Amino acid sequence: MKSEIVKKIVEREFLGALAQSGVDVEGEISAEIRLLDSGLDSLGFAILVTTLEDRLGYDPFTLMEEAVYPQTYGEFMNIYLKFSDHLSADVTA
Amino acid sequence: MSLLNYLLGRSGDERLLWTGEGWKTVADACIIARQIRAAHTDLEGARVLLCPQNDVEMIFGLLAFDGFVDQMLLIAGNTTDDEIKQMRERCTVDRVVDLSFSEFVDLTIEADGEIDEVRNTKWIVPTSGTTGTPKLVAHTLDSLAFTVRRNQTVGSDLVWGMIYDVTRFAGIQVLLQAVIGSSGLAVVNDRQDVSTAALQFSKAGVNALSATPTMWRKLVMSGVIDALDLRIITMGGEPADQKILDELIGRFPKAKVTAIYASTEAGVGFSVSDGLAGFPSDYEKGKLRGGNQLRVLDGKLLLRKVTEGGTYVGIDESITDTKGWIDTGDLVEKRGERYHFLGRASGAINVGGQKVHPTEVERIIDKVPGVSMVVVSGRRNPIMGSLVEAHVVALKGVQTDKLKEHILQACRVHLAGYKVPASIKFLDDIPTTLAGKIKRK
Repeated sequence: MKSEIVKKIVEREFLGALAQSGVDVEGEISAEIRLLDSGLDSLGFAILVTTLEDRLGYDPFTLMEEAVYPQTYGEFMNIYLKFSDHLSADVTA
Repeated sequence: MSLLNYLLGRSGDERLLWTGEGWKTVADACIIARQIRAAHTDLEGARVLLCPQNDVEMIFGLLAFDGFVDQMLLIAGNTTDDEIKQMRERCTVDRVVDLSFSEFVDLTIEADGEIDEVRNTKWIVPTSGTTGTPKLVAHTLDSLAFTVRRNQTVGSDLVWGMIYDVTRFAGIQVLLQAVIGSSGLAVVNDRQDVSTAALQFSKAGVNALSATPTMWRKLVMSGVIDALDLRIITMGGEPADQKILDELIGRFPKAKVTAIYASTEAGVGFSVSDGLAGFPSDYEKGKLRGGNQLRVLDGKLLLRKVTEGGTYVGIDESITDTKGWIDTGDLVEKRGERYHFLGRASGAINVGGQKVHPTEVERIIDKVPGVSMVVVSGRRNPIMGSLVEAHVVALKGVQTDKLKEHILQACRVHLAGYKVPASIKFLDDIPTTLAGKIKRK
């Protein structure tokens, strides 16, 4: 399933980005956590979007007709899942 | 007319400055500004460097010293000693002024009475710098305040939030709009933390805010933007894209949303309030509101100001050509009836309003062992507008995984965070379309 692959990659890259900013997360990331309170600043978050575009082969923020600015991790994940059809065929989790 | 005289022309009981500890009135501010002058009589006519600890100190310094000193060089809190040294080589400074004014509060000084002034103080403002050292641009209060809206009835209902550095051109605009435009101004301790700033702004009743598109996206994502009842929304510093315009217009249907085209050198050029990205192509015909003119030559945006703009300090370079046109360095493209911004002619990358010159990043990466060629360019980003991207050709036999780590390490040591490449791609060769800027070992 493409959405399963997308979910795994987004999760992994998000944790990676947090680790890069010196934030350790134990267990699962809560869907309710506010992105800008998670330890990532807007630059870190912008870089994460770029990294994900390279990994997945699409940037949902560019694909969206109307702008959605995610506030929580759950909303962020859903934006990627919504466009999971665009996942490049050669990407594996 | 000096800034203090503008203030003295307002009613003393009007709210002027909100600092988190409540409001200071116009009368309070006049007294503090006069106390600062009284404590610094020796600075009359001097060339000073203002290096404040925080926005409030800077604001009182500007209120006190405009019309009093000959020139003031405005230094942002995060400026390095090296940068200050370089600026002082180009701009004579008689005194560095400590702006901690708490020591003056015992002086009894009347708030009223206009002050006779003959000095047209020069405000020396550093540009946001593309290649290391920022250039210095001299303005006067008149050239800075030319586009300030002065409708007292509208202004007296507004409270502006200060989210820019008040020593930068955009921050000065907000300060002058509040002081001269009869409005209040809210200042917060930590502008970087937008969530907290927005909550404080909401306490202060901020209903007018000027920020870069990147700051606006950050405010939207923080979720606290809804705490603000915004009526005036302005943005500048980088091109506003349609998505953030739509988002803000949708959230604040009653607000006037305006994109402002301005730079430290040119001052305010023009504004766009029709809710669309870019600017109408008929701006090229005739004069703009306020009297400025613009034209597009070889894809570059040129501006001609109706009033005297800024001048460079300490370098033999003119901001305008002999006919008064300013080459803004911005590339534009006509699509239908509208011009859209493409980026900087110099190749500079605008990362959320902060400019990065590719060569300063290339120079660092070029020195990393294992790198054969590098070209740095901007990559579009939905959050920050653009990010820095490096295309690298590795020497034969070099492991790219490790090389990538080494490049990032070197960049993190030598460059500010926003200049460190957000992505590094390895290529067999640099594409010819990018060849203009490649560096070969």
